Amino acid sequence: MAFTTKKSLLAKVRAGDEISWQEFYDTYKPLMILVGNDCGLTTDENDELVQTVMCEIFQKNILDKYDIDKVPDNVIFKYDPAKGRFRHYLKKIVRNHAIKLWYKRYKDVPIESVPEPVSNDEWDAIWNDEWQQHILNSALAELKLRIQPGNYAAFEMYVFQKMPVEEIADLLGISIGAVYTAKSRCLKMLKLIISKLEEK
Amino acid sequence: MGCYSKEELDMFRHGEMSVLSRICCKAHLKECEACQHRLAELCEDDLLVKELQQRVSVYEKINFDNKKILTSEL
Repeated sequence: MAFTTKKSLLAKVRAGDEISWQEFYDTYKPLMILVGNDCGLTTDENDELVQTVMCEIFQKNILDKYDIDKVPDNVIFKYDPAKGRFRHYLKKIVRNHAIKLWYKRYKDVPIESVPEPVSNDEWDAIWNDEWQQHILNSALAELKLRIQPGNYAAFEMYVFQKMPVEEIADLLGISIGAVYTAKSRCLKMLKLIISKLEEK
Repeated sequence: MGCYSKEELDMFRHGEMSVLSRICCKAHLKECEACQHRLAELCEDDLLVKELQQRVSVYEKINFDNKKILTSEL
């Protein structure tokens, strides 16, 4: 069985590889939306948050030319490690734009009546929580590429579909022990992927 | 009796072993630190599984909602 060695987006970022708009958008849009939700932004504001963050990161006014969901692959971004940890870089950009959107909502309201946006401490807690979620999600996507399909199927049925082990074994034509083996292998690999993604 | 693998211990704790095997395993666990450690690791794995179940559903919802919006726009 040949396993794909496709790099995760975070690994590419760290290596200074080229990252396409679409890959970045698909990977980080859920994170930005979750953070926006936690900060009290509306659906429309979240859409704007994603667009403005993407444009700042790619340093292009690309949305005058293309639909945000259909930006060509040749629109790329390379992270400069001199900027520090990517996680903190992205956090700062998302926070700045989220706060701008918050104040934009109250642009016609006297400044003394504008409610305070989330504090720095609240923001850190929100970001850390959602980042953990993002790491788990990215790790699972990588796991799927690195583990044998049969093992992943057993793992998926056990963990996400919460199917009884006997049923999984019957469906996949394997023993109950093999289902547990698949689960253990996947969890072991998943922990390894997570620790790599979290590396400094 | 030699040590038990993680998979065998998983079967033990989920009641998937025969009565005799279960008795042997239980007795072995009382004496063997390595197997006790493996059993503890399985409990840690359970925590990770629960975390995955809770957190991943949120991402699935976002992706699903996103697909729904795109489909309705077509």
